Formats: sequence, structure tokens, C-alpha cells
Amino acid sequence: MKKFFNSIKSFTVVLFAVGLILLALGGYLSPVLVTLTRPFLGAQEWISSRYIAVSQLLNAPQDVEELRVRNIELENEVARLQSQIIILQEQLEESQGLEELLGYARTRPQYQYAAAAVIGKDPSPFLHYIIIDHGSDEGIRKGMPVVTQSGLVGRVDAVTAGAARVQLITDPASIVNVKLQTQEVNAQINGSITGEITLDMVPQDANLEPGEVILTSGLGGNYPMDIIIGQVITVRKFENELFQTATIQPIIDYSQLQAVLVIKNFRPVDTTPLIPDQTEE
Amino acid sequence: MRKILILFFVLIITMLQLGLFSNIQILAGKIDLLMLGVIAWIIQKKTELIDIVIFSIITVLFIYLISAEPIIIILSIYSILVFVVYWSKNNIQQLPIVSMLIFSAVFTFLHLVIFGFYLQLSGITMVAEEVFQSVILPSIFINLIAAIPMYLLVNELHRWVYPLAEEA
Repeated sequence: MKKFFNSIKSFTVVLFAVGLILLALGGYLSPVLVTLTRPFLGAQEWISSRYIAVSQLLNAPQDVEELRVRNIELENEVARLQSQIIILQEQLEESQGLEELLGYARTRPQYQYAAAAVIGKDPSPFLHYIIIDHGSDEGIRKGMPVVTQSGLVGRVDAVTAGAARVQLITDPASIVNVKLQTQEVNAQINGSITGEITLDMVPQDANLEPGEVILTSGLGGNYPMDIIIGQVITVRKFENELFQTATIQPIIDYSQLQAVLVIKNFRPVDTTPLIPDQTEE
Repeated sequence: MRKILILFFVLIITMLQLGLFSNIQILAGKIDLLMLGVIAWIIQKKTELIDIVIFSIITVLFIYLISAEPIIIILSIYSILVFVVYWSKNNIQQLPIVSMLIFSAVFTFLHLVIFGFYLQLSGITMVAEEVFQSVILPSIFINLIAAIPMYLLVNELHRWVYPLAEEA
């Protein structure tokens, strides 16, 4: 009898288990399982987060130190690359400037040029001179004209073995014989203490208008002809004066000069002996 | 060694003047670092006369080399400057920094006025008002700004050149 009840009990348990498995496979037990497992999952999450926190606490100092070292390495690398970029940009600008100068030199093959870097400016506020890094050792002589790819700069005023001083056309003592591009009119330009260039000695009958391009005329033998100087900005014309005058916008920014070309095979003509007053003295 | 230090210092300020400070302008006014250097050197206490003369001669030579300004103007200005500042240091000077400011302004003015007259006599036309507004006043202003840093710099040089005198 007892055996019979045991076998019925076992059969019931097996049947119940099979029933549960079938219900679970059929998805009917999901709500029940979710409800039952939720507290366990919460507990598991709490334990897991505490473990991670403790683990980070124990491992963090080493990671921060590694990151700090890596950060310093990367910062050094960035600084190195930035300085390299600056050097390359400077070299690029320099090579672009020299390329432009070379281009200018090719367009006027009759002249021999010496490219020179500007290394200083005259300290006197009254004078407009620059110092270049080429001197008599490179064949630079007093009086040689100095240009850039844009136009006329000035002429060599003094020379040492390794450097030369160039008088800019903006210097108050500078006078250059010029002509107008569109008319057969000769005139002269004068510098000033503020660096402005004035066109002077333009005959009253000349039709001088803003925008007119000014070129060297070559008269006097101090500069080659047809080198651009600038454009007329404003014209001053008074009936009671012999000549018109005008303000010139130079084509070159003389405060930003970095490299120039010295025309080596142009010899200025010394007209001093031909001036009667001076020869008599 | 003292003379070499002076030469080296004047060389450095000449290079700075030529390459850097000549490009800094207020209107047409420029800093005259070399003149400020000479004034600052003279007004330092216990500077020997021979060192003042050497400092000034080296400065004049460097200016002659780098500038188109006539040597006669440079020599005249620096001779007057050395004489007046040295005499003032021994007879009047109470505070070196005040002397520095006064002499910077006075000799900038004097230098530019004398050179302006020279240019005028050479045939360069200049309008006095324009010269005063565009060149002289801005130069005085910019030199006054540079005077105190220059004084401090030369003071430091003086400590190197005369270490024992400073300690005593």
C-alpha cells in the first residue's frame, strides 16, 4: 500500500515538473518568472556595481598615472608638431617670396640680380633706410637699384663686406625721375618723413587723374626705366602754380619688406661733373 | 672683462634696435634704445667715467655703422648727453629713475630737433608742425615708455659689471 502511494507521489511530481517545463517552453510562465527573478536581479546589480566600484578604486591610481604620462607624451608631440608647422609655414612663405622674386627676374633677363634678405631698419625716425644681408663680397656696390617682384624699392646707399644699406624711395632725401604710364609726361617723386610719396613737377597741361600708374623714366641714370612705383591717389592742381602735384600709393608696403633683389649690372650714371655750378666750385 | 660685457651689451641692444624696435612705431616716432641705454648707464651709481666713455663711444660707433644719420650729429648729441647727464648725476640727481625719465624726454627732443634742422639745412622740406606731431612727440612718448624697462635692464648689467661695488 505504502509502495503504491510512493509511486503515485513520484508520478505526480514528475507530471508536475513536466507540466511546468511545458508551460515554461510555451511562455506561459514568463510573468511569474519575471516577478520571481526581479529581486535577485536587483541584488545582483547592486553586488556587481559595488564590485566595479571597488575594482576601479583599487586600479585607478595606476591608470591615472599611465594616462598622465601618456598625456604628457602627447602634449610634447603636439608642441613638437606645432613648432614644425610654424617652421614649415615660415619656409613656405620664404620660398613663395623667393619664387616671386625669381619669376620677376626671369621676366627681365637683361639684368643680373642678387636676392637679399632685409635684416634691419634705420633707427632714426626721420630716415627710411633698410639693411640687407648682402654686401661687397657678393658684388653689391653703392648706387645699385633695389627692386622686388612688385616694383621699385630704392638704391644702395652704403656697403660693407657682408651687408648694405638701402635708401628707400620713401626717404625724405630720395628723388626719383618718373613718367606716367599712359602719357609721355616726365615728373619726379619725393619721399617724406612720414613715408608718403609725392609726385611733383607734373606740367599743368598734363591730364593727371587718380589711378594713373607711375613708372621710373630712367632719366638721370640712377634707375632703370619702366619699374612700377605706384598709383596716383589724389591730384592737387592750382592755377597759380607751375606744376601739379599728387599723392602716390606705392605698390610696395615698405614696412613689410622681407626680401629684395639688387640689380647688379646696372651702373648709375654720375652726372655731378656735368652740373656747371658744382664743377666751377 | 668689464669692457667685454659692455661691448656685448651694446651689441645686443644694437641688434634689437635694428631688427625689432625700429619696426615699432607710433605714427613716425621710433624708440631710440641705444640712447636710452647710454642715459641708463651714466645715471647708475658708482659707474666709472672711463666705462661711461667706452659705453658711449661703442654706441656712437654702432649707430654710425647702422644708421644713415651723419656722424657729426651723432657725435654732437652724445657728447652733450654724456656731459650733461654725468654732471647732473654728480650734482643734482636724487632719484635715478626720475633722471632717466627726464633725460630720455629731453635728449629725444634735442636729438630730433637738431637732426630736423640739419635735414632742413640740407634742402629737405619739412613742415615744423608735422614734424612735431608725427615724429618728435610720438618718439618722446615711446621713449618714455621704454625708459623704465631699459633702466632696469642696465641696472642689472651694472650689477654684473660692478659686483663688488654693489655688495659694498
